[in-house]
Amino acid sequence: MIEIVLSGRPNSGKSTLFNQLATKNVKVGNYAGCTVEKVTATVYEDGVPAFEISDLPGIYSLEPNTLDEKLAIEHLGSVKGNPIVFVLDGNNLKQELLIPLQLKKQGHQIIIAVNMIDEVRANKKILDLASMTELSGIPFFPISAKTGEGLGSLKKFLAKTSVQKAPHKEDSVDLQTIKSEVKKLTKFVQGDEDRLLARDRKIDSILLHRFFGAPIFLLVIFALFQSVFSWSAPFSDAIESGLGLLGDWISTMGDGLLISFLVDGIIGGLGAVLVFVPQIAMLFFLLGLLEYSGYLPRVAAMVDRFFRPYGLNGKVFIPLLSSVACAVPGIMSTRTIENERTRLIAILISPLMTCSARLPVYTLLIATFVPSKEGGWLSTAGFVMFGMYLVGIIAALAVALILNFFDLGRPRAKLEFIHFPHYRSPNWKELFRYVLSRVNLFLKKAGTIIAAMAIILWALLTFPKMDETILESQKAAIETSESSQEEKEAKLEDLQMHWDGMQLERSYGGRIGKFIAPVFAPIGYDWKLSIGIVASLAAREVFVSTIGTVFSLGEVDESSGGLMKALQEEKAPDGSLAYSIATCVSLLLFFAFSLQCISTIGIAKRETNSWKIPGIMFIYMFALAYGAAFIGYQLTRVLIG
Amino acid sequence: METQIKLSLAPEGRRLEVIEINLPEDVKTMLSHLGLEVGEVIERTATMPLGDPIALHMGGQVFSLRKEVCEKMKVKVL
Repeated sequence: MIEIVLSGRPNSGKSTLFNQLATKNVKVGNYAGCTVEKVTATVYEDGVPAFEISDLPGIYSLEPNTLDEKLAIEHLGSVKGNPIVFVLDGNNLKQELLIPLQLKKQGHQIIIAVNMIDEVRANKKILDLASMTELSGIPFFPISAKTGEGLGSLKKFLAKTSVQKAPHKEDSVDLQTIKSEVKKLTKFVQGDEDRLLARDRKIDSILLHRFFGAPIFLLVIFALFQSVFSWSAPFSDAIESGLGLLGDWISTMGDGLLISFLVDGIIGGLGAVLVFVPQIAMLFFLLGLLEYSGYLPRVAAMVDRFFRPYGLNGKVFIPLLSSVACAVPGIMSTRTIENERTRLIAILISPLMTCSARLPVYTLLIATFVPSKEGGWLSTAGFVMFGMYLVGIIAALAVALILNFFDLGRPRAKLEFIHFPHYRSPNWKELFRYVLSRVNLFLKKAGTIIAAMAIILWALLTFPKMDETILESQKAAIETSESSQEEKEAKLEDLQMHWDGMQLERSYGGRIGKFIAPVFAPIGYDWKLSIGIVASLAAREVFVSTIGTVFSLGEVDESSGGLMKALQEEKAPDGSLAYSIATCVSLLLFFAFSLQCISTIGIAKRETNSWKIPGIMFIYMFALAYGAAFIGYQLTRVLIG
Repeated sequence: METQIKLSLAPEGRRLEVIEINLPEDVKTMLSHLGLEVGEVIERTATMPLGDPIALHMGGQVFSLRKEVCEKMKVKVL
């Protein structure tokens, strides 16, 4: 089957057309060794496969300025003779016709799809496409990828054209000649007044207003993140509860190794993936809504000035803000950044933003060690928590500033510009398809990595199993004792918690924790906290439950009084208190900067198409975390004691 | 004599003819792909709330360009 290539300028509606044509075998991959997405599919006509279609990244010219453009142009060069459908925005033929005419001169078989024909009509413009076809020798098809208008005839034509490759004839390409050809063709466009542009200006005069623009923007972003949190929370909770119930049900079948594997390994791993789905779906739905409406590019332009001193542009705002909820959708949303270098920096700094998984750890540490003082609605705990958010933002910008001095193997943007598309009402079908594709991608690619890593961590914290005959004999001794039923149950619970603590201590994970404890000693952690650090490599919030197990407290959360008391009263071998405010400062800083989240590692691998970036991310964040914790611990000890 | 002003200082909502672009060749080429080159008629449509970048209608579409780039271009108000 011949491959038909879809090309066009960014925002010409190429991907919408692709999604309308391609309903089966859609494959989303990457161009070799990079993050640029390659999407291909088979198009069926009358129930039989007619042709392969591929959607290339958008191009502004045939001289590439970004990696996306370079790959698209290389792909065009590799399919000479294959039909190329060049998708144009029908409202803007003057600028958009240049590339397809250049491609034709280079010997390509060009078909022009004049998209947004419904808007052209609304704009009171008349395009004489028959005369354009006659003059240029290129078939022009009026279509609306959004409404489906004209797609039937385009598809039929493509099915016919795709039977064989056209002979390749290359002419010399002179830009001036092509420009004069464009001029001749645009004479067949009637209607000068651009009503859409006039409407855009009216909306811009409010949304980009010098005084009202910023408050409107803050309101929209606030509403967006409130919605992501509040609308997705019931679904995430339902998934969590559902998996919890499933785990409980499986647990009733026994307490062997298989049950532990199913409950803690499989369901735990699955939970680590599935719990993010509602958040990802909601975020991408709302981001898609803003993007399709035309407001998102304007938001990027509004904040561009703020990010410039850090070597970034306004498009990093959404990934960074998303990362306050969770770095996983944050890193996924870096796809809106065209420049590879800026995108890489955004990926590297996103996990420094204070995500929701850090909150249980912060809550526990602040409640345990920070003296509680309240004055009206202000409290020390609130100040420290706010400070932790600030620390994350400052660290992210500082790292961006440092990375800006490095080459990073990716060229800096020579010209930063943002295209403002027309304001449009969203295409709901397209929007849902977009959300589904993002969720699908997350489940397929990142999900497998995250689940696999969760299972490995389960194995580390489970094996080797201690000989349970000792536990059983002790249980039997309690059962046969003369205590009351209530006392027996309490003793059995204590025994089980103590056993679990010992099991964790002697597991490979526990041994690693003990082995690396000397590494963490300079930042104030003993082997118990070190095991917590090892276990929280899976996810930061696991720290709280692991510490609970190490202290033989059973199931605990960040508000457990028992855990706070255990941490406050824990004694060091010399009899002094093991943990202090210095340990708290150290742990807060460590958790603020270290990359303890396999989901983030998994998604960074998926988005960068290599283990190199997640590796660098893990190492630099660990070094930053350790260094900050060391300084914080030692300084606090000197200053406070 | 016609008054030439920097694009960064040009008024909003007026048609402007590009007179001069003092930028490196590769940047000039990129701008021309967006429809901004000497002789073209453009229009400054909006300024972002922080005063930078500037939105310009050129080549039939609207793009934002940073002020530092606009300062290197001269236009005349038509």
